[in-house]
Amino acid sequence: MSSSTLPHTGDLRAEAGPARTVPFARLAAVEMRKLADTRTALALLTLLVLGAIGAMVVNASFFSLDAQDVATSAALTLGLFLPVLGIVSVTSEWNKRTALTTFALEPRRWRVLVAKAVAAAAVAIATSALMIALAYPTTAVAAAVRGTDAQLALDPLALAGWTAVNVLFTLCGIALGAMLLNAAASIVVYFVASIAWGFLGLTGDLGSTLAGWLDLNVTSVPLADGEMSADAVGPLLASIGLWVTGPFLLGLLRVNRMELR
Amino acid sequence: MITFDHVTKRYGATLALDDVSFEVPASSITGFLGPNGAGKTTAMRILLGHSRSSGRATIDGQQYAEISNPGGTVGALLDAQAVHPGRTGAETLAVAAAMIGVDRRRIGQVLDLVGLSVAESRRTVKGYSLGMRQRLGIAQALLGTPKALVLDEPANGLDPQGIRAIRDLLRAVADDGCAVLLSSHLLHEVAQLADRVVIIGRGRILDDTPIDHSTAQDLESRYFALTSTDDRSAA
Repeated sequence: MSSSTLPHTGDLRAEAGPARTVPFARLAAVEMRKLADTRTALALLTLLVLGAIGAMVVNASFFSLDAQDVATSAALTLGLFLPVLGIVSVTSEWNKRTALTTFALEPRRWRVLVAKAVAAAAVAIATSALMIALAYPTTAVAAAVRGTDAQLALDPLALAGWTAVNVLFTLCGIALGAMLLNAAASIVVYFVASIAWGFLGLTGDLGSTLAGWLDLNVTSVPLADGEMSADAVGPLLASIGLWVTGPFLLGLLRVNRMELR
Repeated sequence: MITFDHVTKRYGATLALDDVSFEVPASSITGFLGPNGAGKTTAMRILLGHSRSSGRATIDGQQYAEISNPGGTVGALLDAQAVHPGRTGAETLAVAAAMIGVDRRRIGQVLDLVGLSVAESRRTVKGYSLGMRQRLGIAQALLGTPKALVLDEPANGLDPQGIRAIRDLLRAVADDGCAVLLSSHLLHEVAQLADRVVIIGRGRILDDTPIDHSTAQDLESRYFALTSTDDRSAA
C-alpha cells in the first residue's frame, strides 16, 4: 500500500456506467471470455483445435480423400474436448469458489448457467465451422501429395447436422457439470457412460434396444451423417432428454437452491 | 440504506441468526462485531442473496435479487480467497466490469484507489498475498457506483499502512453517500472508523449504538462485557 492519503472523491464513482441491467448477451459474452482467460483454459482450447486439425490431417494423409469425411473426422477430438470444456466451465465456479462473486454480480443463477451453455455452444459451433473450412484445403493438399484425386464436395446439410451433434455433446458436458458440480465426477460419468452403453448394446435385444434409444452416441449418428429420418427423431429426443435436458434441469434446480459459502 | 428486518436463519437445529434487525444508514459506516461463529458472515450472505432466511434483508428497500444490476450498485467482499487463481488481477476486474457494464478505464481507477500497481494487476492471483487479494476484492467492490458496501473482514492480511489506507478510503466512500457495513475483529480500527457499531453474539444482536471515536477503550470493554457470556457451544 503506497500511501494513506485520501483518494480523490471523483475516483470513487464510475464515470460511465454501471448499466441499469445485465442483458443476457453481455452475460453470455462474459462467460465466453471466461472460457479463454486463464492459461489452463487457453491450453484446453489450443489442444481442442490442434487435436481436431491433427485428426483431419491424419485422415486425409492415410485414409480418406473425401473432404466430408475429413471434416467429420475432427469429431474424434471435438467429442473428447468439447464436453470437458463444458464441464469445466460450470464446475470451476465451485472448484475455485468464484460462484460467490459470479452470483453476487448476477443473482439470477439460472441466467448464468444458460449463459454458460450458450457460450460453450458458440465455441462448439465456431470450432466445427473452422474444421469444415479447413477440410477443403487439407483434403486438396493431401490429394496433391498422394498424387490422387480428391472428392471435394461438401454436403451442407450433413455438416450442419454434424455441427449440431458437436453442440449436443458440449451441452451434455454443461448439463453433467451443473448437475454434479464436480469436474472429475462429471468427466468420469460422461466417458464411462459412453463405454457402458457400448457393452449394454452387446448384451442382447433389450440392451440393444435401450442403447438404440438412450445412448446419445448411437442416436445422434443419423443427425451427424445427414441421414435424419422420422424414425430417428424419437430416440434422439429421448437420449437428449436423458443426457442433456434432464441433467441440466436438475442442475438448474440444484444451483438455484444451494447456499453459497 | 441497508436494513435487516427480523432476519432469522436456521441450519438444522442450530439457530444461526435469531430475529436480527438493524440498519446501516447512507453516508455512514457500521462496524459489525462479534466472535467467530456469531453470525456476521451469515447475515452478510443473506443480504447478498447467497443464503435464504425468514425476515427481510434489503438495500434501499429492495432485496438483493430484486436489484436489476446489483453488482453496479452494491459492492461486496465476503471472501478474498474466492478468486480464480489462474486469472490476473486485471482480468478478474475486467470480467466483473464487463458484467456490470462499466468502462474498462474504471479498472485503472479502482486499482489506484486500493494501491495495487498496474504491474501487480498483470500477475495471476495465485501469486498474490492475502493482503493483495483483499485489495483486489475491495477494488472489485468499488467498480460500480455502490450505494452500499458489504465487507467481511477486509483488513485481514493487510499491513498497518494498508489498514490505514483502506480506512481512509472507506471513510471517503461513506462521505460520498454510501452505506458501509464492515465486519472486523480489529476493535480499535472499528472504533476509529465506524459511526455506529452492531455487536452480535450467538445470532442475536447484543448492542446497536452510535460510537464515539475517542472511546476505543470503551468499545473494547463493552464488546468483551457483552460477548463474554457467549457460549457458542450452546448455539
